[in-house]
Amino acid sequence: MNTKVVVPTVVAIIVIVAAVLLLTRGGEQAPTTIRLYMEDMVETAYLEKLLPEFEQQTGIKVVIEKASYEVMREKLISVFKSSEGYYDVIIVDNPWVAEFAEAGWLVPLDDFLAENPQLNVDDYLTSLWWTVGKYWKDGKVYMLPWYNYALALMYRTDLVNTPPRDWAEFYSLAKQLTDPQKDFYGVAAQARRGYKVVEEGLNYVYGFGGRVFDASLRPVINSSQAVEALFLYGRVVFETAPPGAINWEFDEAFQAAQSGKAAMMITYNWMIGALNNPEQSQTAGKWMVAPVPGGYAVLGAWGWAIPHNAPNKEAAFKFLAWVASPETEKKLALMGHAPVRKSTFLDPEVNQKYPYMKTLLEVVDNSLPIVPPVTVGEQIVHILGQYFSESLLHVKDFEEGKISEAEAKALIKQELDKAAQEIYELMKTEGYYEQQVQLPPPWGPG
Amino acid sequence: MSMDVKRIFISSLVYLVIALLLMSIMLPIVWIVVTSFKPESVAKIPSVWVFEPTLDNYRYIASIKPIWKPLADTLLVATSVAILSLAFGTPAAYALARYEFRGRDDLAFWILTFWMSPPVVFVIPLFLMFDRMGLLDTYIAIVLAHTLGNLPFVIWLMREYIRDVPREVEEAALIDGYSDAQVFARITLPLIKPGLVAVGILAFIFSWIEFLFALVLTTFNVRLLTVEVSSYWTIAGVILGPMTAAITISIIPATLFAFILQKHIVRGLTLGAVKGE
Amino acid sequence: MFLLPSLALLVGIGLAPFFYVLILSFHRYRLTWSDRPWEFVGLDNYRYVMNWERFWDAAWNTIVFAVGTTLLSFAVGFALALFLSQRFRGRGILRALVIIPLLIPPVSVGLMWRFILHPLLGLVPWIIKSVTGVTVSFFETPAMAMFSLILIDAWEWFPFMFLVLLAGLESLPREPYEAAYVDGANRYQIFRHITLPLMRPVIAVAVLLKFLISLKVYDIIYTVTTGGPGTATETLSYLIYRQTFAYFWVDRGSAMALVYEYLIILFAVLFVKYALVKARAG
Repeated sequence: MNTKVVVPTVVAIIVIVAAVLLLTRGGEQAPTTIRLYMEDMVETAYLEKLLPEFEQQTGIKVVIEKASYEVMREKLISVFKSSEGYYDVIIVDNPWVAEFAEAGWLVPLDDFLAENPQLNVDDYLTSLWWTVGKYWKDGKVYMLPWYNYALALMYRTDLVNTPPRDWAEFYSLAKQLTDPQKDFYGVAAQARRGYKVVEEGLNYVYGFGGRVFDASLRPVINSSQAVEALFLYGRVVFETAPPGAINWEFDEAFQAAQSGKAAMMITYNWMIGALNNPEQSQTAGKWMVAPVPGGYAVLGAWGWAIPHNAPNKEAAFKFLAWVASPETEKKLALMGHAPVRKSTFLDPEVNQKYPYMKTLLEVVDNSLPIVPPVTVGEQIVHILGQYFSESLLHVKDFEEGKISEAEAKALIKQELDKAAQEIYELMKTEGYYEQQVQLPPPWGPG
Repeated sequence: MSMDVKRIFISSLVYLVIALLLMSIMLPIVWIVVTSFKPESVAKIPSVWVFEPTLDNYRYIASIKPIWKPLADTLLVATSVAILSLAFGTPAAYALARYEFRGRDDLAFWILTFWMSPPVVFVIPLFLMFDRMGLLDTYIAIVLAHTLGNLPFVIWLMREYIRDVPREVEEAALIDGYSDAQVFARITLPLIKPGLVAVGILAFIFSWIEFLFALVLTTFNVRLLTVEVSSYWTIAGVILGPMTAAITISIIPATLFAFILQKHIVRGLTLGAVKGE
Repeated sequence: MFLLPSLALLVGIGLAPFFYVLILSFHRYRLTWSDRPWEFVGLDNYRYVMNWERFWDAAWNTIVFAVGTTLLSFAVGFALALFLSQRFRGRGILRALVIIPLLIPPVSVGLMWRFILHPLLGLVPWIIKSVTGVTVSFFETPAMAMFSLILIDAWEWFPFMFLVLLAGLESLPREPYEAAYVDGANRYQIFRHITLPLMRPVIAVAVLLKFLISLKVYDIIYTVTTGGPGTATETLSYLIYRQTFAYFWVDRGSAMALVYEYLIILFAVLFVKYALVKARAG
């Protein structure tokens, strides 16, 4: 046989086998190492700075595996399904809690919380606690809140005197500030299909009094309030936002805002720090934060959880007891972390460093989750995302004079009807309508 | 005379188009390299070309989140995949190109059907299979998965290149007393070198850029670049500086590799000579 | 004998997942239903898929996308392959440089192009604006969004065409060219009457393979438009990706993937029967 093919093949196989043997050996962990799986964010960097403290206290070494939010679900599936289990502690997004909990993929934390009263769960903000903490269906706790991403209004103090209080006011102010000739726009909108258009558009729906679900978990997203809200949202996107905002995500919008091309932006409340940071922003120092117009904001949150197949649960609990404690959260908050505890929001030291903390508390207090913890949260967000995006295209036709306002609204209503129908069928498949369920506060009655 | 002018005009037009094409193709690559030296405040504003260059991004990928292990692993995996795909695929391609047997074209087509379905649905069963075999997070699993993914296209392309080799050459060798395997190894392989190199490079690249299988089948022991680089995509924006720095660093070995190999994509001189006999 | 190793690998590792998917497509099962058994539902999943409007919309988008990107990357790849098969200084460097786009992870390609095409701050709109004074928005309308995706994908994949066609060009026999030179044919005539006919089989295979690759692409769609605006750029592989990996409906995902695969096989049979056989017959 030809040596040109055979020799490299044999060499490659030997190299591979050797490497596998060597590296699988090396992969065996010392008993006191735990692995964390979380997103690569500034929050992660803050945590890394504090880790030596925990390692000193307990002798447990922490290795953080940083991943992209966009691929976490895919990876987590393989983590949950693998027979060995890779990670001891993971970060889970709020639309996924119920899903992972019902699948039996997360360890219930109730016993752990009973043993660790210093964690004081009553200190968590109610909206957050019901979003990622207590799972109302079985009353158990599967996750501890880590940080919030409630949406808020960012505005340029040199251009906006008082932040608008409702969406109509917001629209007219944005329109007034827009000057395409100078490449300047009222709002750096992010209307890309998927999470973004929902995170932004749902604020309008909430502000107009619409909701995604009623108290008995029936979809009500096709209400007339929601139609009006999305119509106005479309006008904001096409009249006062830069061209292309219909496909914008956070990055595009943030760059437009920081480089001085927009006067306002709806984004995660803690982004105020980045907008005023000279290293990240050319307009640093000119930004202020306010609650979103219309009162209720969309809320998202990450939480700590322990996978059912965590190799080292005991150490994982120790880590949780440390990271979720009020003391650790205060230290993190002083670095810029987005708090989840009332005590941190009201802490004098934190307030001294970040004078807008009280505003942020107001934002998070008055927020409703993007979806309640149901087992199909991710899919519901994407159903909404698709039909919100379709609705915007109808507003675009209206802007171009192709259809009248009434026609546009009728078409939006049709899209939202489809969304409601799909959500209903999905919830039914997952067994939500077999018995009477009531949403707990703050989103249900009470 | 006017013919000449016309010809010159047309050929300079063609070269102008080629030059523009090359420029527009290279522009984003230049942009990647430039961005890797930008400070964070202007990193995501491509129209800014004047700035104070910084090495922060390279420091990030060198020490804060080192890419050396993923880079070495990816090189190892991609090279193994390229070699294995060719070692498995070329003989099969030879058989499919040269031997007449019943259902030959059907078999070739059936092999290609492995390449027709979206890989997404096969990730989960493959994952469960490797889990049962205890091969998760090993080089074997990812190399096997990538080799499997490459085989259909390797076989199809090599088959086409083998067809281009005139049969008479092989038949002459058979008469000289060569066995089938010897003909394949001594006569055919050298003649299809351009194809081998090109397909080898492609198999290497396909493994290099594959993401989904890499994400699900590897974790700590094996780390691959695509997964590493994807982690720069966060909910609060893309961490663009380190990402472009990682890309810049990672394309250097791969491009060098391609540069060394491309010399072998040259006309097989023997081919014309043999055919001319 | 020559075939055995490959077939062993394909059958050994490739076939089991295929049967898993096939069986799954007749059941009702979600990945999160850990302890629930698979419930046999016959053809329900297939019925659902066949009657799902979005599936067929996505099929159409997929075809538009795949045809567009295949043609564009073929045109660019072939032009460069012809150019770089000539002998001149620096050819080696250029050959290595033009394959760089294919070496960048697709996820990064998508993310980068979002900045390059940013209407206010991006590179391309900035150049267009400096030249013409018009602000171009690359994702404003459904048609523009599709066009931009094709552009990005073709940028990434033309090196594939380039490599395959270059190797094909380099292994062409020499003597028809020598004969043509003796006859005094010009370059265009040589290209039209010698290169093109001789290259036809390789071109056909290259186009077929690139078309199949384009049908499977989801990363660029995921990173650049997530299928929007509306459902304008939602392709089948993206739809299947979402069903399977984001929503965990592996049952429907499997059925969709199989229906999709049968459609592609149908197309490929026709292509191989007509285009490829004809190209080989010359």
